[in-house]
Amino acid sequence: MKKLKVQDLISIGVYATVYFFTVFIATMLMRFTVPVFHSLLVPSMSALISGTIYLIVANKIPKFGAITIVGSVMAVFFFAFGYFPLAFLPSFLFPLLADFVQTKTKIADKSKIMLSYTIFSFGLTGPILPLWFMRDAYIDSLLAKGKDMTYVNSVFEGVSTASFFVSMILVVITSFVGLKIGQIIYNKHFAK
Amino acid sequence: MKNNRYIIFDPRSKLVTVIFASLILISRANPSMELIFMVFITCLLCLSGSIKKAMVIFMSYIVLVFLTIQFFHEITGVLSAIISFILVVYKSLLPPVAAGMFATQNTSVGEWVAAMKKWHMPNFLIIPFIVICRFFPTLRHDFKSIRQAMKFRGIYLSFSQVVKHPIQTMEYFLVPILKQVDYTAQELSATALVRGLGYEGQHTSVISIKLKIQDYLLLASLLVLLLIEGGVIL
Repeated sequence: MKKLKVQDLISIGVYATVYFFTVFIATMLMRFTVPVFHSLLVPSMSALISGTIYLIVANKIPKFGAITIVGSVMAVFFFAFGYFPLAFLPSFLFPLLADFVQTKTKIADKSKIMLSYTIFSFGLTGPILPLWFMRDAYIDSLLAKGKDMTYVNSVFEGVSTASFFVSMILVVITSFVGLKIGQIIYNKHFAK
Repeated sequence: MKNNRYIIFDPRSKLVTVIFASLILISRANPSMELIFMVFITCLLCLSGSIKKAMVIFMSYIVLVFLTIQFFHEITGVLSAIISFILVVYKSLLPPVAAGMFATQNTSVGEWVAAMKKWHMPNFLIIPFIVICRFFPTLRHDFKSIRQAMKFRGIYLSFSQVVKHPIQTMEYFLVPILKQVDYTAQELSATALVRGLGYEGQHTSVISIKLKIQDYLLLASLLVLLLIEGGVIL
């Protein structure tokens, strides 16, 4: 595979900024519309609106590394703003996997981009995984205080397991829809 | 440098502070340790010149702790359990956020790049990083201009508009930005090549990156905190 040139790296940086921007918009949209657990829906919302950018990056810079770097922007952000290390791992690993699928495998083009975009979208789940992780910390701290936690425990059990699966399945669905929308916009304005 | 009255830390020791804050969150440190670290990071923020931010962070930490102890001492129902859960989550997220502020505050892009070069990071990491930092203000500017142009033509970004025509609203925003981005990328490439970014050999930098006394003190005190947390001392 060809190596990335300086021009490619600059384009990647620029598109990565736009991607960061769309994720920011998705976060804001969710924050103002969904009250408490808005962060659960951020990955699916941004999967819905960043399909076009993904298509442009995949088509304009068809070399291994581009998608990884675009996704890793979020990893750097999560790291710098002190979400803890587990949060930045998914936003690095999933884009890497998506990149691998996109540039190194030989599946039919249409299903390939669909698959890689779905994988890519999971990159944003990093910051919400701690919600389940933190739950344990919370329960630990209460148990340390000597509380009887059986009741609250049972309440949380249902809420978090269900919400976990709901938000994960939602990511798959919205990335599918988001890529379809992206393709419409891409074909209308950017395809040459 | 912008301000010589305040102590300036090395980007590398700032990064170590961020990692340490994350470690505290993962290892579920006991409350007193969290408090000590919060006091520590508040002092650091004050020393590096952002006293106001330090105060805001510290006060919100105190308020969260107070609320948790005072009002949610007894958990009676589902609602109070959920509120108390949210309080605990926000409280334990505060130390890393403060550390992140400390790291990004008063550190110029040039310093970060110099530090990355010192670590011998490859080009494919450094160049996108520089571009993102430089490009972000431009993007914000473009975004504002597009919004103004839309308003001029009578297309408003209102809630009802977003709900009624979500794809259309998205198209109106994304397409101009992406078209504009294409030009900016070409311009940036030209500038970068003129400035010698594509040069294969050794690059030099105006900024000298060196660990100074304050950095050693910071690293040493972090080490002491880590040892206390690990149960080696006390």
